[in-house]
Amino acid sequence: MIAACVWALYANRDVLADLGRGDGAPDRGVLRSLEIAAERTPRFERIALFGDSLVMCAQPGADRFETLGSNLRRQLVAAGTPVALVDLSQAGLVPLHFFALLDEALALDARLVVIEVNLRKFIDPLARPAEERLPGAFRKLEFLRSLQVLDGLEPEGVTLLDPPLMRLKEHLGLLYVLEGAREGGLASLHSMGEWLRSTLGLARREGPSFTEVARRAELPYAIDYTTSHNASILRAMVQDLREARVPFILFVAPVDPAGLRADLGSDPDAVQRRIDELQRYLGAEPTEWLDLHDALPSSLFRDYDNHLVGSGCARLARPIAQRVLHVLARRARPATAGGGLER
Amino acid sequence: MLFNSLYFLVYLLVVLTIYHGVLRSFAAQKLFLLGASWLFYATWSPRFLLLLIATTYVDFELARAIHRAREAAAPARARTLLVTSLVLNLGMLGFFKYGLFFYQSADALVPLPPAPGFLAVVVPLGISFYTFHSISYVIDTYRGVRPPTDAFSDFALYVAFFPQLIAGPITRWGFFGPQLAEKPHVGLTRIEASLFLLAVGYVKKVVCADSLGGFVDAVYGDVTEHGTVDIVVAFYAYAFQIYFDFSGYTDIAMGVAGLLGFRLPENFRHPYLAESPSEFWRRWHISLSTWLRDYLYIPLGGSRRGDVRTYVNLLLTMLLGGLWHGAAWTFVLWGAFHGAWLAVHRAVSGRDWWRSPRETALAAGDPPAPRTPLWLRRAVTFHLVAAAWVLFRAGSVSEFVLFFSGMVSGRPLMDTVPVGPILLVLLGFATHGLATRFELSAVWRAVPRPVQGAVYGFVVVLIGLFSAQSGRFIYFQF
Repeated sequence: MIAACVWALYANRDVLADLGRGDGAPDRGVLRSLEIAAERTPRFERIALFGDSLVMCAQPGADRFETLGSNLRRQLVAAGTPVALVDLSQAGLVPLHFFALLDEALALDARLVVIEVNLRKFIDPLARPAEERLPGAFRKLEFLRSLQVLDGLEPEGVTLLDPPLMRLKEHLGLLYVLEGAREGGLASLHSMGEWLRSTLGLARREGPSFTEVARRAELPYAIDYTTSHNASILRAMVQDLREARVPFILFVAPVDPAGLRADLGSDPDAVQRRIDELQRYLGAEPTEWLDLHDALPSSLFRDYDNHLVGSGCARLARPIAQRVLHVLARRARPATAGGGLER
Repeated sequence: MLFNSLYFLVYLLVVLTIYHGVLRSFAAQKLFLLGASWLFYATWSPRFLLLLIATTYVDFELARAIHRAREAAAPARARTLLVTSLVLNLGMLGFFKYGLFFYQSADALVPLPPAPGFLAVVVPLGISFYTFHSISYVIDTYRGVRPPTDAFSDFALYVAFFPQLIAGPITRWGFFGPQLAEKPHVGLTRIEASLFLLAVGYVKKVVCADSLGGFVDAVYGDVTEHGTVDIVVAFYAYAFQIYFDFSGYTDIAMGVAGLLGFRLPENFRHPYLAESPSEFWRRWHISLSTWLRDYLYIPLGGSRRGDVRTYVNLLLTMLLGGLWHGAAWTFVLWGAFHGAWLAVHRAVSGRDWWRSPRETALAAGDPPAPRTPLWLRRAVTFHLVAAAWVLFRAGSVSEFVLFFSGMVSGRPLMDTVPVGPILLVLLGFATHGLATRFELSAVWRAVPRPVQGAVYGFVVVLIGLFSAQSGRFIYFQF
């Protein structure tokens, strides 16, 4: 029976891997974007954009998303500077994912890298990726590079051995197979639970958890961001980009002013000071840093997690597009003294 | 380095290879094990490794000085040295584990200035366990139970032996020391028994405890939003999560120790089969309850000073036992509950808390036979233990109250009927029930080796299947 179970897992590995990969897997999102970009020869200069769900904008309940990437592309075309934008944004990604994929983005000859800084990821440990498939992207993390961000691995539930093990599983065609079996098992348990619920006539609550909403609404923003593992990972990215001599823009994603209000009571400048500290810690120059934490009105946010409504991405893209144009224009000019960051 | 991490498996393979494959003399093997144990600890904190080594050395020297004082018939000097050791060990435990707790508790009574920064220190991993190792060693030396060792490396290995360093079992020198005298034989039988323990331990931890843990965390994290059915299931689920988690750790510890040729004391004996609180403590975390008995309850006077004093001693022992688990009032109340329950049970049944009915019968004549059926005594004991676990798991007394009010709130389900946790709870009951009829390890020995191999393969697949959600062991925080 046991051998039959193991054999069934192996024989159905393709089906299970497909189930395990799911719609939210990096293989169908950010890794696919990298593959497509690698297959094409760009007509314009390449820009890589790293982000998470904060750069995906939608009305509440809508299926279709506007993205910062598409808005950025449009606005740059409208400004007469078309670019080949490699959008490496996906819901649930964390800075460690960005770091893992940076190598591949640079290998695509990206001329500029735009990186989102999501303050919630520093504040709320529950903002870690919910989907278990997202660690699949960590297989792109090379062993020597993972030593650079050793302190940042454990908080994300990753060990030094995970990426090589994932690569081995991928090599053997077993990546996502166990995840698929687990998904299948959980789905079966869920349908059993549903059957039991309806048979017993038990009611189910409707709507979100109010405790959770309240908890998320009360998160403080005036904290020391530099002590987070995310800060050290982003700093490692900054160092890598400097070594590669690729210009970059780190932009602080907008925060719902309603969520900020609690922190602004006694000390209105506390959050700003903390963000400035983070900038200094990362070693980002003023031209490499775009603080948009208070750039958008509350009406453009759809929840306390700072997700934006559909039109939010267009508004968010404007200052970023301007900064991209500025950086590209500076880069095009002959290098001057102190312009060591430009290629 | 968690037992359920890849790092640990690699570490263990390297240790076993060098220990069995490269080193020949037992002295070298022991030294290597000491180094490996210290390395194991250093992967968590090199800074606190120095603390571990320093306290080990101080206790080693103090025990030798106590022995010399005893031989020189200088009891006052021996007593002074013992007090010095106790003050150092308990002072260190108190500072790291309870300093901030006591300060904040005092602040709640009398307003104090903000707590000094040095109180907000990280608690060294395993400190509750390794200080208890050292204390029992020094006290046994003082009592003249056995002479101390002259080999620092042996004593250091006893304190830091990595399978039991972080979360026990709390081993006595009298149990472990003799094993260091002679090179153990690690034959096929011992390897098979150890692999069996490892497999059982990993299944308990990764498959059972961590699966239950996800559900339990969700309910306790948001108890006012969960429905009656969710909370009732969480009531049972936590009782089995903590059992699977801690007994799983112990099985792994015993399995690893077995592969190295060492034995560790039994720590669990199907605790939810207990039919009274005293029996529960003879089945749950046995190494702690016997430690508390020998080094706290009996020195307090045990049951030798009349009924009232016995009840006070029981209450005090369990209260401190509760506090040992963590610096929070919920742990103190949990201990107080068990102490009060033991006292009431003793008053009603006339039995000592650690003695079995047979031992009590031998000591004091035939006790009256219980009038309630066995299944009812077991059910009542289990439910009271599980109710106390709610106090253990809740972040505060108000959370504890909210939990029980939620059980009768009639609120609708959060999502669907939690079938997975229910099945695991049933599995927990089933394993306890089967334990009354079969000895699992004996059944296992009768299984043909090819089938055993297939089962191990399946266990590996199971662990792979469930490992994505695997987390820390609950008892690591203590």
